[in-house]
Amino acid sequence: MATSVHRIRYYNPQPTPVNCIAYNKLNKQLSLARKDSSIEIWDMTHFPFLLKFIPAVKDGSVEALGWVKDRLLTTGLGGALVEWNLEEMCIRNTILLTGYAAWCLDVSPDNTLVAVGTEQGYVNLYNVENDDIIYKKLFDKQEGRILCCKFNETSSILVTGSVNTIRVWNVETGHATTRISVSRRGKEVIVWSLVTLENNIIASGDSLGRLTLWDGNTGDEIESFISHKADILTIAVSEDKNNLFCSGVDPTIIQFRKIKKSDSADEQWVKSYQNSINQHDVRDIAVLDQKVLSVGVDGYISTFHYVRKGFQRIPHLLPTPRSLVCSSKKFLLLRYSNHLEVWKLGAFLKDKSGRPVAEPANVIIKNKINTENNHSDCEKVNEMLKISENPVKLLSLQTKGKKQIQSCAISPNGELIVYSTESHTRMLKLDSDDESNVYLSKVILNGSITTCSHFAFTEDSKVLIVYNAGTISFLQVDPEAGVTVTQTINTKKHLSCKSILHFQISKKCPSNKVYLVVADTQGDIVIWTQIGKKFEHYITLPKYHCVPSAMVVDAEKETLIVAYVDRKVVEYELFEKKFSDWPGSAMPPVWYDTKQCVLSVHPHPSGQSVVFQHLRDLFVLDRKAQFEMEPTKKKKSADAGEMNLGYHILPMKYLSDFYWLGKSEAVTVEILPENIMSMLPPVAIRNKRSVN
Amino acid sequence: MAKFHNYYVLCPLIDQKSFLGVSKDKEDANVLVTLGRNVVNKYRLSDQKQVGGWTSKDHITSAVIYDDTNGNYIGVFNNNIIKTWQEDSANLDKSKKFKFSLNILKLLPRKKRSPLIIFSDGNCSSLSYAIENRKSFENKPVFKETETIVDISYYGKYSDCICYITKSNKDTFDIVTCPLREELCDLERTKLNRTKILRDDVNVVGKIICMETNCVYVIWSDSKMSEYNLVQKSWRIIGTVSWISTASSISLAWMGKNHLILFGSNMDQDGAIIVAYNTTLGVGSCKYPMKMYTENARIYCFDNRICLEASNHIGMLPYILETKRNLSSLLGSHEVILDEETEIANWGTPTIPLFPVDDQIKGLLKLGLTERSICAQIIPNLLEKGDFVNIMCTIRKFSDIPESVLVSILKYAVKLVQSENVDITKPEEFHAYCREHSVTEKEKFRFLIDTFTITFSDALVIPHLRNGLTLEDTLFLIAYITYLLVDPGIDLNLEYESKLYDWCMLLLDSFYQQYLLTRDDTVTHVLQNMLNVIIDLIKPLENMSLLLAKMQNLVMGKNFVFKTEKQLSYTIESIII
Repeated sequence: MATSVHRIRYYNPQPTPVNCIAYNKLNKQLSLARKDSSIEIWDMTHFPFLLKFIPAVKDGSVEALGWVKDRLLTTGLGGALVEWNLEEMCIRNTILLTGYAAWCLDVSPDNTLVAVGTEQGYVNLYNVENDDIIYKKLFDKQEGRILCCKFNETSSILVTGSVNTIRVWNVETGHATTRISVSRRGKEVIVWSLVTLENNIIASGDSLGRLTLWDGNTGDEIESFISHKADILTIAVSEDKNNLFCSGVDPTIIQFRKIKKSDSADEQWVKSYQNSINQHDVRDIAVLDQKVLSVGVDGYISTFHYVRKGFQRIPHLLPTPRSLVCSSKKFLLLRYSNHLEVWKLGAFLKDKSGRPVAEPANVIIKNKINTENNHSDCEKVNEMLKISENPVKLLSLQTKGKKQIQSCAISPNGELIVYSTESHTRMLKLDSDDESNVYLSKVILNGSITTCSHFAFTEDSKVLIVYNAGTISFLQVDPEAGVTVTQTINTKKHLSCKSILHFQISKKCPSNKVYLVVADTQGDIVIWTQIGKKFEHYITLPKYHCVPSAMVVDAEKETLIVAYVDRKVVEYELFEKKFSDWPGSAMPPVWYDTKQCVLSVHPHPSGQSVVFQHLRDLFVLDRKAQFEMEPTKKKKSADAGEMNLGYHILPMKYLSDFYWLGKSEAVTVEILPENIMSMLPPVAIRNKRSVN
Repeated sequence: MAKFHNYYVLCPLIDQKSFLGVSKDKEDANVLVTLGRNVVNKYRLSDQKQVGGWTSKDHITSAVIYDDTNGNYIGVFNNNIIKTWQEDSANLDKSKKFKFSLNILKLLPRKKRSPLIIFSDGNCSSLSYAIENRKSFENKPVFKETETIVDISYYGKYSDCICYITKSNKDTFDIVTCPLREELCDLERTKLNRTKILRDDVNVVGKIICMETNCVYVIWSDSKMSEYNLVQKSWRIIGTVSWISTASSISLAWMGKNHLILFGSNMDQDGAIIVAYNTTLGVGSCKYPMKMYTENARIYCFDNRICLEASNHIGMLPYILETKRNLSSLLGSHEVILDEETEIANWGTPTIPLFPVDDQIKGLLKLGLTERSICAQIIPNLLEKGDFVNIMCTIRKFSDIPESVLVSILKYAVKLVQSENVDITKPEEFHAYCREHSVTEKEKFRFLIDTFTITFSDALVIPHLRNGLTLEDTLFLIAYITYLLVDPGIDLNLEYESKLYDWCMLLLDSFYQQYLLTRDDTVTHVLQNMLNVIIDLIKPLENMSLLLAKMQNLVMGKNFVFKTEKQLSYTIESIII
């Protein structure tokens, strides 16, 4: 069905460089800290999916991250070891360190000790058993800052790297056992990164671009590779300790493999494969299973599979909601790190019969579309429509104290904007008699609403439902008199954790019900519904083994469509309280070939299909079966006569958001890769072969 | 031009003292290395592999050669025994021996002909003949016992002459040439010729007989290279040899295509250097630095490879020779020697003056007066006479006119055009006055215009202007110059125009205070008018400079910046969803 799509390509939030990452093998979660000190937790079980977000604080710094089982510890230039509460996204415990700013942190492999290296040369050792952080020891002070530290496999030895020196410490005594001098011809050499390998071998990466292997017992150099043109900032070792990956200012990731010499039992490290998916400085690398994940100045999360050689890059996108639309007034709310923008969408020219007028053969964008009759790919040309009105920026709203936004919302009638930072929630009333005159006025929030992680407006804009740390509050909104709390629900009874992923209120369904759907980061999906004036618990969905990446209530059909991170899609009939047959096993095989999470789900206004939004495309899945069954990997045997669902894919580059405006009008918010590129600093070391 | 590749080792040298030399094998790709007293090896040049070799119990005393007439190898053993053997012979001790009564110095292979055998006393013969008559072979020694043979080669169209370089016990070198008799190839003693290699104050550091060019090349200790043509028996200096030190001896070999290869110590004497030297141009065309210098190292050229005896190995340096002259590769290779002799040039100074002068000036010239004072004497008289045509002619003869005279000319010119008759505040009238006049009037205006072209010093002229001109005159002049600036009738002449601007500034400067103090409308009008004209003239220049940048971009192939980005950042498209 032809839809007029407003393609917004001017939403360009500044990508923030990533400082460090830490992967947790136990729960397959990745913690990631950006330069502005915001922390993200990604679910890596299937495809990278942003689970949790801790907003940045002013002058904050996170230089190193570490997981102790499922506890997250960070440290930074503030000189404190911080443990985070990952349910309420706030600090759980802070311990001041000795030796000012901290540069590095390592958790011992048995999850009992944490070592932090500091500016003044002190190694701080803490015991982290029993869900606590207890001071254990300070190692002997050394000259110069400690830039990296690493425990060995048995947690008995700690290796630290600093300017010109690598030291090997006995963890029990706190004394250095070996000192290795790294300087070369009197020149200062900075040891940026270290890993410990089997047989007490240490690998170091330094500012000359050398990867050096040392014998940790004697301090002798075993081998040195000048692999990079500039500083090696990070080294990572694979689980089986047979592969090393290093990169840095020269963003090539070089793999070293351990091989056994054919004639003797000796082992040798050899340079094996190099990968240049990054163009900017790589700050940290993590190896998960057979994938290498690299982050750096460009803010992207780049992964490549070192056995199968596939790769993927995810740009830095703010957490949802990035943008919101108010379809009645055609307002578009764009969220940036610490400000909001409200735009009035443009309009296209219509001819006398009300049809849109196309721009005479201007820009042609070809999409591959699978049509009903012809299964083979045929090319369909997108038509540019003549723009009669350009979009207008109505306002730009800076948060109080320039704090980072945690969440935001715009009411369906376009009159109210609400946003929350880590300490405040603010609601503003937006009046606009026409485009040139826009007035903002503050709406008073009564009650004790300080910060909120999620917002949802009811369809009539009269009730705002907010969520914060285990409490759902229902607020009656009166722009003149202010906002008052009418009901609160404690979710402890129904949700297994306080951090939630999805928080949606449906439109009025045919059965006259309104559903409030909440999904937490453990994968629970709970639905409340309005009975009388109050919301009551309605149903909890059967628990699936992974978290839902996107969900939506189809108000027309009164169903809930859920897409999980493993790309499973289910539809739940809310009135009947049972799963529907769609999509069942009729998913087209190409669905499982898409290696990314569904970011949002939108039922088509015509009721014929459902639109799944990915980062790189829109996947339109029909509600009825069309194609003959093709055997897929997931289904071993295909019964004759079974049909796959019809689909077509609209490729887009970095699709941030998609919304329906009406029956045949939609909005896409796209972030073009070239725009991201243009905002990044110039490249220090250019690779001859690089992606993009 | 020559170009060197990378140096590599052909084979190690066990004992440098006993090394006897390298010679050609049957195939061009192989060489025979006579390593020492008992060992002869065959190496393939391309991969430095040993492809053959023999050992002997007897001492070898001269480099083994390959004789292509009989297809066998020939060696000298114990100074007086010749042995010949085939390639497949395993033991040299069993091969055939020919014992001579004389000591044999060297064997010289010849193309398609029997090799030459050279005896220590200087006699020579073809090998086949010598072997047949070895018992009876007896000749008078060619050289005295004080002389030693340093180099031997044959030359001539049919290799019918032999040439020796000998060294006496007084360290002087001689070139000895002698034709050979046919078949027997012994010396025709009567035609023996001796030439001394001698120059004052310098000594020989390197020498070679080149059979390809029939020349002997000699390098002297002053870096000069000379050539002795054996056929024409004449000396020629080729040029200087750069890059290489002549303090120690230099080894030479012929590369081919007008190139010699030189091996010697480098200029700092802290290493060695190999230099390819072009003998036709007299310049070094390529060099290759080496670590170790070896005195009197033997150097050869085989199959586009230089073969060098180094201290503990024999090294190879492949090279490429091209006859194409590449000027860039010659840069810096030639040493410039300043010619410091002076020569007195004859300029052919004429005695008669170059320009005609009239009698009056001639008289003054003879007095030795300067142009300025001559002008100051002549011009006022002419002005009094009022003969303006003559004045102009006279002025043109001078390039240095006193400022006082200039001002009086100007004043005269203003009077001449009867400036008082016109109202300069009325533009139309003034323009008509300037434009429409009779022939004589035209001449007068011409005179005024020419006056403006006279060169002057503005600092000196200002006081004279203040004294000599009235305000009215000045205003008229400014108005007239303003008119000239935009007058379509005058050809565009950059120099002339800039003179007019100079005059403008000068007139403004000199009467600056009067302009300020007089509240005269005429002054305001004239100055305002000039300002307008100047602004009108500047405007197109500004436009032009803007346009110039754009045109430059266009020429460079850069696009104008169209703001397409803005269009693309928002579109509404019809997409089938």
